[in-house]
Amino acid sequence: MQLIWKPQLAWNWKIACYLYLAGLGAGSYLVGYILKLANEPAVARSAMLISAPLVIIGTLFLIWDLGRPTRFLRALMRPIKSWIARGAWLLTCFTVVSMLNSVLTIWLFNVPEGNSVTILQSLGALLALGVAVYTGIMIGIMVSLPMWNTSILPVLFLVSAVSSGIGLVYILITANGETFPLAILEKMMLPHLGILIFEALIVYFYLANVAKSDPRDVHNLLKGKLAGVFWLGFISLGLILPLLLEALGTILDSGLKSYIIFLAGLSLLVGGFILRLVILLAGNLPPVVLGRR
Amino acid sequence: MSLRKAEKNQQTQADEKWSVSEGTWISSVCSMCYGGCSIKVKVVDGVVRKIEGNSDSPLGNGRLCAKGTSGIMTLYDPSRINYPLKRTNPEKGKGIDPGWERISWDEALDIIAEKMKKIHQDEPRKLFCMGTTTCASMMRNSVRSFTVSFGTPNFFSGGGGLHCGNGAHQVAGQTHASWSIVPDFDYCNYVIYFGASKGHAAGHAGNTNAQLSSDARSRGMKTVVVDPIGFQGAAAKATEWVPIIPGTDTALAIAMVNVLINELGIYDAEFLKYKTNASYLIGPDGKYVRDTASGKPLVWDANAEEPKAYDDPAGDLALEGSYEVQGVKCRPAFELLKEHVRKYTPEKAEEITKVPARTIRRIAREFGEAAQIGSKIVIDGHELPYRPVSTIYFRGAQGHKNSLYACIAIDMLNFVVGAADMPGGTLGFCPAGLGHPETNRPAFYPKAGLDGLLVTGIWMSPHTPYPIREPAQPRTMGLGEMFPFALSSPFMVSSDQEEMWEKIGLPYRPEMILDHGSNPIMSVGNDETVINSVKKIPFIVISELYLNEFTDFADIVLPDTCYLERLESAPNHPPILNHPAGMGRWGWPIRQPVIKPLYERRDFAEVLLELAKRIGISSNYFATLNLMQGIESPYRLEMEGDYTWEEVCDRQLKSHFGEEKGLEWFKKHGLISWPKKAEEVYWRAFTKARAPIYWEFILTAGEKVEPIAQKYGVDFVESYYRPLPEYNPCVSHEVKDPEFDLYGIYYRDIMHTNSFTMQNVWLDEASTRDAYIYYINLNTSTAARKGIKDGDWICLESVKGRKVWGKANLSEAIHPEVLAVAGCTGHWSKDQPIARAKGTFFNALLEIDYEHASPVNLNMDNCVKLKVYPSAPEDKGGVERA
Amino acid sequence: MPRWGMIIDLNRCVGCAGCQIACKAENCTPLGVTFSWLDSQEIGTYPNARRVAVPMICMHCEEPECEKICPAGATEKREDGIVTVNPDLCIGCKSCVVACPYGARYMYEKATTYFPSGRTPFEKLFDGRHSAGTVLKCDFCLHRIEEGLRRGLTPGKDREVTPACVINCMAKARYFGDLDDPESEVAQLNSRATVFPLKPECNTRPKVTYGGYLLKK
Repeated sequence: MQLIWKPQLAWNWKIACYLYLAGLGAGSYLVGYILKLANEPAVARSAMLISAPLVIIGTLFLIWDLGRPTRFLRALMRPIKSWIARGAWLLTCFTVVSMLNSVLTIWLFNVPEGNSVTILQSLGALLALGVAVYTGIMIGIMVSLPMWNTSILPVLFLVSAVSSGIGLVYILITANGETFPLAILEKMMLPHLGILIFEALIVYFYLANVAKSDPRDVHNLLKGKLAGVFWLGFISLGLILPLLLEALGTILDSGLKSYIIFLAGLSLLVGGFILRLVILLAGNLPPVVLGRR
Repeated sequence: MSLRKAEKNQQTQADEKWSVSEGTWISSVCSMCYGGCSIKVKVVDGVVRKIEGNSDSPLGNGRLCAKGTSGIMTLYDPSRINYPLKRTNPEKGKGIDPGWERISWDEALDIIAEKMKKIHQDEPRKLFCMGTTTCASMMRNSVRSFTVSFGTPNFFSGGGGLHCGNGAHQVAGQTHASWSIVPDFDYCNYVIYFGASKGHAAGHAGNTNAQLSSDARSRGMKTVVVDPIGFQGAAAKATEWVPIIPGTDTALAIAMVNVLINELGIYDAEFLKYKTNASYLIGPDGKYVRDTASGKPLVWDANAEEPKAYDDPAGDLALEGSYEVQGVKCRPAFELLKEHVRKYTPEKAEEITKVPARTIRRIAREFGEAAQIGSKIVIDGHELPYRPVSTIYFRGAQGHKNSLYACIAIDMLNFVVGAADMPGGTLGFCPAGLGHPETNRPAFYPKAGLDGLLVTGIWMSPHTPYPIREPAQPRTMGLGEMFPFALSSPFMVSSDQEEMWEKIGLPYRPEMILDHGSNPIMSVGNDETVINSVKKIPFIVISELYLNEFTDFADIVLPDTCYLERLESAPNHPPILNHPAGMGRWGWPIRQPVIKPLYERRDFAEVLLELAKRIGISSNYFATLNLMQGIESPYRLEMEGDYTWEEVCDRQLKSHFGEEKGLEWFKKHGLISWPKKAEEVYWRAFTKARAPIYWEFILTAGEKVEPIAQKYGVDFVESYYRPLPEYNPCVSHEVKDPEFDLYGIYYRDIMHTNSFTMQNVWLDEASTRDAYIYYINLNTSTAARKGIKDGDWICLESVKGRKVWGKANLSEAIHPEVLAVAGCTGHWSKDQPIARAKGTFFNALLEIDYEHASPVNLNMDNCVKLKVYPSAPEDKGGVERA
Repeated sequence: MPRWGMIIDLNRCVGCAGCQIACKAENCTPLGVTFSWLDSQEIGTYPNARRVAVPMICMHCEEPECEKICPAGATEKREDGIVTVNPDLCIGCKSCVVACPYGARYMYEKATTYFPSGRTPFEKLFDGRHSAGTVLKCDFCLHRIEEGLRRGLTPGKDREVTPACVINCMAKARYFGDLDDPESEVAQLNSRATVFPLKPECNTRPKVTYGGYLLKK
């Protein structure tokens, strides 16, 4: 008989949606915040505006996944000890702050930009950072599953969140060419190329690190059942394609550009989801091995 | 909030039902296998809530295996038969719906009794009875008694016997006066298992033996297990696993005897002289040299230098040398044994068994040295020989054509070092009992019989294993008269049965089957053959728990009670079947209904009483019950009486344990228990009975069988009728086609009993989690050679073109030339939704005919040469690995 | 306050799955939920290979990952060391199922029965025993232990208040008792150097430990 690495089945695509949407929401807020600092208030506002609904939808997926959805508020019970509860708090706080920001800056236009808004938005950014990092921590703390149990995951999920956030902003801009000047893209593409390369490096570093202690899971991901999803869905669609498209976008200067960047944004969004899904599914409970003291 | 309250409320209510203090415990006896462990069943509001072992009983000491605990799910399985059923579709065949119609018990009994009455008046031998080894005590104490009283010799225990022990049980009876053998775990230091798992499996006191074997292992007992598979049973717990080619154990055992007596000179001369026939003088014709006057076999008195009758209080008996007595040159049997085994050198055995000669020599030496020949031990105030070594055999070693010699050869090792039924050695299952101290009943003791050889004190059937039946012209379906060493016969369902019956001129053909719980379609060999055979029988009545592959051919099906709804006064009697051996205590529990039978299920013992009455054979039946159950005056059943099953049980108990201790007493107390004595456990030291190491009576039986066989044109194979064991190959060993390169065997998994436990939903859940039970297990290297990966669908194909499919499980712990499947998996009956399509039906590959049966004891050969290749069947069924 | 623990002797275990079924019967665990179960693995290569049966159960860790991660406070490590789930508090987030390195926790999604035709009379006795939508796990047969303490009996010694898998084991491979009581069998066995925890790399400090495993040539 072969020793069996049992796939974890408790957390499935719903949790992947949750992780993804929470990350995307946080990411788009962060991108919006940075764009604001970079003097692009209109795009920044939209990016920040969309973050709270995304996080809320993500949370709905989480609640849907609960065995007892009506008890969801109890997830906030033990922030002192439980990372899950801390995460729930982070998400709640971020949602509240982000929505407050939206309410103040969008619907109540009269609130002038000023110290109080900046403080609020900075607080939001801090919380967004927390949320994005937290989605990695949530699964990174599982000592049971070697594929997850690494401190690189929070970093990876943060970078991926930002990247997906940028993807979302690309779509916002390219889909509303009249409202937003395409010139903003020029500001974003080059740094984002850097981010993508950085993300690829982290993924490599992550897998190499896991493989050192338990090559089986990594093998499963690269060559096993999940290989198709991983290579096509994440590496090709989520990394290489946007890389190429954006590279093309930086060089090209024609009407096609907006379509290319729109596509890049779309593939970034899909890739971000695939990344979470594939990592969730790659979690295997290793067998008990006798003789290992 | 209200939701929460409601939940809480519910919880508190439930608490009352399943809490520790709720309910009543009722003592009974398990029957999920034939191990017969004492159980306590907790009943809450008339519902069985828990089954545990009964800690007051030596039969299990309060512990229980998975099967025993899972009985609840057999009791409440919605697939159980609850009402008598009558067939409406006259067409019978595999996969053909019988069109069951519910009928009343009265109607069912009327139909059956009318048919049986006719048969009884016409020719009682046309009745063919079957019972299941799962309910072994029920089979012996009720079904067989009924069969005998009806006047038919045709009885069949499904595949039981053919698979587990035509050789094993018969030889154990002839050498240990018992049904099976087991190491004396309390004292044994070194044991060699040949295809056996005593102490690591089900059946025969399996639970108590597991406790004892675990104690022995913890104590440091060394276990060497000779077995093609190492992933389960004793092999998995062995100190040393010795992989072997299936069916070759005989060669290995004889080679070890050779090493011991010829190379090392290790043997217990005292034991051989006085406890065996080793000193009997054998003439040039291979037979005993007998005293002309008394006819008694002679021995050579080395002190007086003259021959003496074996039972003369002689001085020192010669084991070696050559003498002339009554003008005949003769030699002691031991001398012949020494000479005989010389040709089985370890090197020759290596060729046959693929066990290295070095290993054979080493194990033989270790065994011989560990025997500590000459040492003594005091037990219970008696100074006894101390022989802490044992060899045992069971189904694996004996499940072949060479069944008889396999058992003789393996057991020979015990006799050579004097370890048979001595402290630390190999014990029979409780063949000697002096009875309860108050009544001295039940009492039975092995004694010296014809030619001074061992005769059992108690046996499973009326005919004791020794002296063997006189060979005669067959008049039974199984042709047993011609095969006096057979316990069970493949001709009951074989492909060549009609041909055989023609040959011997069987004056009748079976017209009715009355079956209690056996499923021969799954438990004998390939289903096609069995189906062809049972289809010819016009009327089939089956009392069963579930509709199954066999009930598809029945005309009437009766709803049987399971053991939790049944009464039996002697579930562990005779103790040679399943009472733990070794010192400790005796136990005589009863099996009693812990709840009233559900629906219209009826205890088959009661059905038989009723049938006997309707047919008009009650007086016969009562007489047989008196005999088989040992019911003595004043409790004997009167010929003219009319008894309920409760009354029969009551009388048996009172007859054994006195007026005070009838059924009522036992219902309350569950069991009676008393301490064992050394005279009972180590009886051999206290009797003059001798065991054969030279099997003269095989030779003489052969001489009588040969002319009968020739007369009827049945093959007589001389190499199976010699007085000293030989290695005879299986059919599978002689397959030369290189495409067929693997030996297929099945094994009995510890989680299952025969075929019926496969429908138990808890056991199925556990089996699905197991990596082996529902898979075809083969060696990793073999699989690699054939391009088979773990979990692949593969096809097994026999030389005869029979095929089965299953999923591969790759294992390191299996012989590379062997492939193993758990026995009796692969049900196909739609009426067993849990069992259906789980695993692989191995028996489908086995031929059932004379060619594949032992020419001396009709044991079926259970190994088959196979071609194996990746292939998926159309109907995948099967299971996913958990 | 006692600290309950168990030792499983792999040298004694014969792999009969009696523990698994005894637990089923004691706790009426739903289909697919096995608080106590039998794992096995093969050690070595042919011909020095063997299958070793490894009975598994919740390890009742001193540092339970499941308890650390539970956001709702449903999982608790009691003072006596037993790790329990309060079905009234559990939200069914399954984080503990994922977090347990031993696979000892089960999400009971929906109320199920063993047979499609409905609950057997046996299953009906256990109405409300397990709450759907919550996580189920072994609690060392807490109902038996508590009954024992109420009645002044000693779990581990007195049969009816000792976990079902322990009293049932036909190879006598399981020992149960108070690890802090130097007189107890488990405490004495636990002090042996040959006793080991499973997956020590997870640093969970199990109170169920193993011993007696050996493979000789």
